[in-house]
Amino acid sequence: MTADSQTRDPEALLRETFSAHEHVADVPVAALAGAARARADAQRRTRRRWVGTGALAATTALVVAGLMLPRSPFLPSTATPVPSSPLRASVPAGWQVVSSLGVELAVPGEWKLNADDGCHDPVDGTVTFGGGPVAGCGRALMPRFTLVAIAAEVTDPRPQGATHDRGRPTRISGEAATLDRWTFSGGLTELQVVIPGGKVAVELRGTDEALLRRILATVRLVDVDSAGCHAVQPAKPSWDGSRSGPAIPVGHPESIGVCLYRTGRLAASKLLTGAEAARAAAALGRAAPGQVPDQPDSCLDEPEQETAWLYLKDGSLERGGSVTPVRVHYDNCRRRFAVSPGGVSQLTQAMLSTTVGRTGTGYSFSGDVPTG
Amino acid sequence: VAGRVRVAGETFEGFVAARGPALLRLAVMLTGDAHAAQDLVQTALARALRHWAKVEAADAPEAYVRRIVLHEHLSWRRRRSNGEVVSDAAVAARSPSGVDPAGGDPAGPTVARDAAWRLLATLPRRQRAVLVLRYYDDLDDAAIAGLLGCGQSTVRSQAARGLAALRAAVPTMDAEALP
Repeated sequence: MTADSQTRDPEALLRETFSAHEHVADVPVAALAGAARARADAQRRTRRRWVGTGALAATTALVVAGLMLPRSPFLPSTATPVPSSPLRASVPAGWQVVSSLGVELAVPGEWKLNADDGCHDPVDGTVTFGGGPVAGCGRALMPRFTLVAIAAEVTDPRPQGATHDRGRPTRISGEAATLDRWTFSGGLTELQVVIPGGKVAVELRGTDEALLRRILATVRLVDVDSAGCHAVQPAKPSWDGSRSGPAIPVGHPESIGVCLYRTGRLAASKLLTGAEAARAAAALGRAAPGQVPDQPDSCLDEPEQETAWLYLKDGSLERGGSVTPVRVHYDNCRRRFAVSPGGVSQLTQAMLSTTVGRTGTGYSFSGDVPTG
Repeated sequence: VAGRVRVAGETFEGFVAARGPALLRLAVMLTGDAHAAQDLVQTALARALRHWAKVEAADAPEAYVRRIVLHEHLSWRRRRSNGEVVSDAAVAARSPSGVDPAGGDPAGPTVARDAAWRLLATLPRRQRAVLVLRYYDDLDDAAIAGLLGCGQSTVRSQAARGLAALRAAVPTMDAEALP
């Protein structure tokens, strides 16, 4: 390629231009993985813009302290959680309940959870929550399908061309909230409810505004959701710690409430029943006593950002059944175990996949963990 | 060293060590800036990390992550978070004369490449991405259309606009050479 041809052939010039600027990327990559990991952690524990005044300061305090035990008016007890009143009867038959960040809402039963990964064709309906489909590819175009997102942040401004009906006051479960509405070309509508008192926002987007408003009508704030999960991570109980002794006595729970917490707030939950509960109980029961050996040579002792609580329910509380709480520690390469008042069991991959894996949010674990 | 995610095959750290430079090069071509490229790659890798087992299990993990880099760069939410709104009208309002060919022989290869690089910075992200995929990644229009979720005709029109802008920005460009 001569200089003359470079300037006469735009395609050749572009190729030469790209090639000539590859050196711009010549930066050390040794720290890249660590930086990406730190960013992933930061995405869990911080948000660009928290809803409501004062929330940022409260959150920052939690992060700086590296605590999983929020000292705030939201601090729940470790007592057996009793769900708030059932989601109101107006929820249409066949709809499913989704819970995150202290918000419960209902969407059509056939909707997928966290299915908007941007890598594949959009589905007809999906709910994004608990951090969303993190492994997704993003999306080049504004999605034109029905999407409901529960998030601790609001995302604006909107693209050009949107018409905005700004800020109508409303109330959700008695809490003051604002409802914004955007309309876009092509019949797309977005409703956004911001609930400062709950530090949460709900976005609903799609072409069927009537459906969006039916979903909106199911939105409520809860202290304990339908799966029996506190909206805020329970305080550390006295029995939470690795020790010698027996494995967790699992028994044959009728149901298992799975509560996934990220940075102290409920990211997702799932009430396992039937075969799902049996599989999870079996995985718990197979785990060896004790904890997975630490791997101090391959990791730093980072603060735990993510944890799961399980509530093994042996019969209904109304019939005198009991509830066994289990805390699962998996978000580090040290102290990986599940613990209940009656025992300590090693963390296993089967334990995670049958419990946290059922919440629809994904998870990761560090180091060598038994398959179980 | 941070904790290592255990997957069936390659560790996250191993993947980044091996493929990080290539991802950064792609990001530089898309963003035009080393810092922005690092930010983009870190964001994309953070997205990949949480479901690393899924990424690693993909037929082509690197292609999967490159796709994340591309779409993260183009994503609606990223533009929103940056407060950036790009429209063709805004780009059209930018004068090609904003590319300054002064400082040397305008026909010289270095000057031409510098002018082209500066021109790329003025293009809409999507248009630039088409040029990167076509002339850096050497993908055909069908593959680009698949990546961007648009038709091949859109790819061709975006490429044509980019090349036309390039011709206007580099005064010695021979119009007859344009497609």
